Amino acid sequence: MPTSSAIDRIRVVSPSDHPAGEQGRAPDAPSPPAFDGQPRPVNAATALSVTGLRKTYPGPTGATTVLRGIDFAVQSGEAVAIVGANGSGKSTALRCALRLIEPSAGDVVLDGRSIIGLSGKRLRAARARVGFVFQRHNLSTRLTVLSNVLHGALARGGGMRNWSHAFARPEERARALHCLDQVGLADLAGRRADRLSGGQSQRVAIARALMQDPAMLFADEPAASLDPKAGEDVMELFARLRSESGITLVFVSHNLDHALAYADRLIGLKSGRIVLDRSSSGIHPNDLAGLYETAEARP
Amino acid sequence: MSTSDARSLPPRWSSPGLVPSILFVLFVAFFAWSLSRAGISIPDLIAGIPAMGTIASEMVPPATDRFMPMLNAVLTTFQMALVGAVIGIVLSLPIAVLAARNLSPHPLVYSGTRALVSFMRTVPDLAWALFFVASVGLGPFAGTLALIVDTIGFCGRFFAESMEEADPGPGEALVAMGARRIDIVACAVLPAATPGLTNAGLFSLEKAVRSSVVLGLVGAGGIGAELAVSMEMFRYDQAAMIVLMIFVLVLAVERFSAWARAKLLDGTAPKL
Repeated sequence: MPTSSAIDRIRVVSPSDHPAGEQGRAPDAPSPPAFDGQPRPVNAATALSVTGLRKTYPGPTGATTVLRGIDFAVQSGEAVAIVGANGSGKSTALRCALRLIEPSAGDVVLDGRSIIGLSGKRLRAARARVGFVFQRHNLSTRLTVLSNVLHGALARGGGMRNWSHAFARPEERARALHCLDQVGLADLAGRRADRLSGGQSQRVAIARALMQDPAMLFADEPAASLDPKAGEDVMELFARLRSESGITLVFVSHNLDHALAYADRLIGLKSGRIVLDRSSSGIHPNDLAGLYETAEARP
Repeated sequence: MSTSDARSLPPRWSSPGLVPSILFVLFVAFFAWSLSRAGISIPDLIAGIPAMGTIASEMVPPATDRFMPMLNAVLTTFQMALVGAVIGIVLSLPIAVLAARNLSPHPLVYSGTRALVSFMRTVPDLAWALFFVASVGLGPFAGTLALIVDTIGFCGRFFAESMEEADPGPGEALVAMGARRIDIVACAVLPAATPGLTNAGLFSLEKAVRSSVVLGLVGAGGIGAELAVSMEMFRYDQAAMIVLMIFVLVLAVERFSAWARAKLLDGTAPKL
């Protein structure tokens, strides 16, 4: 059971903790321009800014609030881990940040442009800037590895030829192979995706995300369904990609060792609120025990 | 509730309740009434046995005097079924996308498409054949049209259900990367729904072959017309040969269907 001193070490975050321009905008500030599908302006260190994000699910016995107005910002090139107990809202926050789940309130700014209110082509253009790696690899298992990686080019308007590697342009095939090479699986390009191990599948999913040429990578518990060795390999891969390309990384993890080892900063969620937001250096896993303390366990 | 109550074993049987009991009694009563109206008569069955024996004896040996015309009619029947089923399957794919709850662009489109598919399925193929014979005249074209409509009614529903049951994960991954709806259908939904689509498609081919035999009875072309003529002329030996040919055709299609199913679903990656 966590001690009160461990809980005390978890810093409760308020919006005033963040310097202006990092944390997002004040509620009355003008909205940033919407994503228009054009090349992003040279900017701004803030890659992702989330302000007042709320998510409430209506239900027959009353509404369930999963996110209670969270604020955080991620700088370009930064690696941020979102940690917290089951049901704390980690995955919901990540999905709301890309509007895979529609937020009930709040704002999400990607690359300096708000994605709230976007629809159709503009929303797709905004999403194309972010590679998303899921807990389950979410590959089309009946297709080949190379076809799956090529699907990453669909985000860039690659067209129907990228539905299958058989029809893809030579340069796209070569690029997909290069992405596979980056994750160490170039020799499995022709294999069907359902013939891969869990770790290999997750690396193919990362290659598919790289095919998008993303400005940022989101990963929702990317190692949770893998054995410890494969999970470590996947996290090492993220670390290597970061060091090679400086890509921004936001990942959700239950593994505090991964969060501390592979993130520059930790955001701790508890009951839909951010209760911790600080640099990972100097944090000990025991310091985070309070995140996992249930309400019933409290005296 | 005390601890001992909470830990006691549940009863082996639980009362079904008033409404299920009433429904069960109503079902039994309706079935008994249906039995009386179905015209089942054991004496008539027994009285008919000698006639059955006579017809069966006249069927042996099957006549071979019109073998080639019959073979040609069987071939026409199969070709009618093949064309009807394949065109029906191809047309069913976009219709199924509109009729799948998770893919349809609007609830009204979903409801409208589902209603259309249900209508095509619930009207019997024989009724469609009569409609098309009256519209385009006697012959295989009317039968083929009837089979196309019947296949859409069947495949439209089962394709849509396969698409609804497909693993949503790959589709979610494509949504997250900003892919278009058509990309998601082609790259995530169709591959995931392949087993269901393959099963429904092959079954619809088998169904079309069986249907195409019957459609000839109303003038929609194929071997059915030959069978009707043979029975009306009391040429049971010719009828026996036609039945044998139909049996071989249906068996061959079923065997091919089973082989293709295994090859497509369990084999290596289909060549694209």
